[in-house]
Amino acid sequence: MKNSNPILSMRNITKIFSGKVRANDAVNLDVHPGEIHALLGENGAGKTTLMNILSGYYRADEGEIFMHGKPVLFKSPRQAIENGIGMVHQHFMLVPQHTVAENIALGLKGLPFVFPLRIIEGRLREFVSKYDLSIEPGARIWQLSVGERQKVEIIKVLIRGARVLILDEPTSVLTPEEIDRLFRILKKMKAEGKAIIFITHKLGEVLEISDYITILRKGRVAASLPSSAIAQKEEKAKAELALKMVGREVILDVKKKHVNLGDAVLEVKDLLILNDRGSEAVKGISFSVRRGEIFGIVGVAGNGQGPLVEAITGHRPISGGGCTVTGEIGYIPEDRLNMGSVPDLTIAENSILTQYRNSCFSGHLFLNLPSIQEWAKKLIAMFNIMASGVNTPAKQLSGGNLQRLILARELSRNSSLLIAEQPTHGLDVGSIEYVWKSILEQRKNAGILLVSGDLSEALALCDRIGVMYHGKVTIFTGPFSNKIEKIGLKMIGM
Amino acid sequence: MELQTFIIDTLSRALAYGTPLLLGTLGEIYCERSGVLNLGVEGMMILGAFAGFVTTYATGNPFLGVLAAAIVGGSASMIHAFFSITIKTNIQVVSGLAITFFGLGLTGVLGRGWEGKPLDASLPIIGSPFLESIPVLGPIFSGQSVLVYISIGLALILWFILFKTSWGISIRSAGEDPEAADALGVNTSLVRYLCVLTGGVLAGIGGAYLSIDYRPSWTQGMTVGMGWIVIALTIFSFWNPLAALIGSYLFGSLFYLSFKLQPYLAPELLMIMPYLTTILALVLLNCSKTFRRRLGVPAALGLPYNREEK
Repeated sequence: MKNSNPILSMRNITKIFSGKVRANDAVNLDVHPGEIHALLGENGAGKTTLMNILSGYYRADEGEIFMHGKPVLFKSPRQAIENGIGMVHQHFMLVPQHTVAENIALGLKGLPFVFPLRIIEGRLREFVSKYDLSIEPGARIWQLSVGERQKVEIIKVLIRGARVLILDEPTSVLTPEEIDRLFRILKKMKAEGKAIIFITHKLGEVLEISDYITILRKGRVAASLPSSAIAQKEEKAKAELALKMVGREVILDVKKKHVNLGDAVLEVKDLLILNDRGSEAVKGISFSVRRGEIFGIVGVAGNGQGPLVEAITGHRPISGGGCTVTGEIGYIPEDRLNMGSVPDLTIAENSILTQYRNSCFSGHLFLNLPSIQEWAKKLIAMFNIMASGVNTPAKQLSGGNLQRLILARELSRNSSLLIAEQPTHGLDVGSIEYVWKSILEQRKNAGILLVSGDLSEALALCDRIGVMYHGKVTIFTGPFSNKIEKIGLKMIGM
Repeated sequence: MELQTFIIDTLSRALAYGTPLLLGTLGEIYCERSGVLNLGVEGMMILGAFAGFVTTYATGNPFLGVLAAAIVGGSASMIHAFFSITIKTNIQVVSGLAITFFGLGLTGVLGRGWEGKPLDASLPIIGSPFLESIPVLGPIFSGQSVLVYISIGLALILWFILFKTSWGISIRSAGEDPEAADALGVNTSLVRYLCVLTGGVLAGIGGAYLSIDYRPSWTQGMTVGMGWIVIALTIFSFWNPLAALIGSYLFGSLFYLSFKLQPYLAPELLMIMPYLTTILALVLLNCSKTFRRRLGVPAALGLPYNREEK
């Protein structure tokens, strides 16, 4: 395979945002036909930026792109598509109100002007036989599952004659079964001689499917090597890759110091909550959280966790029972960008959103800007937030750094109850470790309610775990080592 | 027998009065389907009415008048397109309103010497023996202007383009999810520019119909809030050209009835309609996301699209 010439070469690609942040710094990348090339890196390492340059979204400030050895310059996504480069974005680029066929026909050349959809339906049948990609052409996108939407995206790219497929974190939204199906499709495309670039930050997957691995770190290439060159033993291989990604040893098991338990800071009794449609989302549950402990709420999404947190934080009315909070609540919401922060406000402004009335930050009438900026600088230093300054908008932070900012803001308030909702969802290994450490630290001052979709996270951090299923809760007390199976069964209602 | 004449009269006037509404609504549907909210319809209509009247008066050719109205309406819409699409700031509402007030003000100043002047030339009346031979309803079609038939044809053509062609997919996608369209190489700015232009041209022609044909004369503010009704009709027709056909004639008949029924019903009630429906329209547009979706509001309506922004 390495004997063939690369279908695609990127040379010395550099991209600078806002004149300061070097999202890509002299990156080189070679991809061969019939190769699955994994692009690994932490959040904010520059993977997506690099691929957006390749697919014509951004223009590189420096560097060149070669296709089949010839230099190319993509001024728009259309030119990239015409050159055989297709990108399946992490956030699907589908029009939810339109049908599958309409989404595929959008912008597609060579279709008749009148009744273009009739042709699409015929072409869709080809994909069923060739790649096992079956889909109902008349279905509307919003009716489809995430896995089906991804199929539509892949068909969209293939129908345009893509020879290089870019998949941005394709597995992050899929169920294990769907991941298997995706991998089978990718292998078929590989056998056809297509080149596939697979962006991910999940280490395990990379070893399973890729031929070649390029690791980005802080916008630069940290390593580039064939997958087979990585040590055979899986655990060791993972650790090695993680080391390359974060540049230091990753400790995945958590050391918990003993903390004395205090009074209850949250008392939930026979709580009854209705959802938006008026049916019972939480059906009379009771539990309490004491200062010094981490109480975990786990479960498959949609079993009442959302309404429970909304009710405790006062975003949703309680329909029965009681919920008593002693002191203030610190809240780390699941939706960081919209609920946890105001993306267009600066980092400094975001850092005081929940305590702007505090006398250090505001007088009777005006905000005390110097002290707010001083405070934000302190948080940035304390929590290792990578930012170009306290006056840049929060939306420019990468996912991990935005979460650190929210964490910094909420932890520094010294509230008596901390509610952390999916605090590490979508973060890289380094940030996850940091968030865990900070939450454990907080036990000294507060009781913590951790809502997590990641069971291993809850098992590592929590003292007690409440499994939610259909609005009911079953509570397990640690240590959990011999209860994992039971917890798992409870999650699926058995 | 008298009731029958009354109904025929009402329908005939509904067709005539509904035509400028239909032209404006068809344009606004394209504009909004591509994602641009244009509150400048009233201004573009009055500019078209004035340009159409003056040109027809000077040249004696009503078709040149319609052409002039189309050009003036289209030009005004390009100002709006420039602010909404190229400048990309979130001031679509402001720039649309500005064009409305600019159009009303400018024609008010320029039109002073033109009030009361009669227009000799008018658009040809098309007699259709086939339509007029329809029993009972035939008389509705007698004496209608050529623009009435053109606008009905346009509604059918624009519906077909919007829902049955590849252009239609691009237009609707630009209004629902410009990012997705952009990702597939659709030039969303161009699509939006063309749709806003369509809106301006049709609004201008709608205005010209009023000043050349419906009431062949120039009166200051002669569009009397039609541009606002157009914006409401766009919503009530659920952004569908065929439904706009029905809606426009319904409003047209209401207008005629308000004159006929003056002894029984205060005509002021109808004068309120444009503004009432506009308020209602804005309330609907600012409803919750789920309600907007159920209503079929183009998801990206009123939102500029900026590729480089994170």
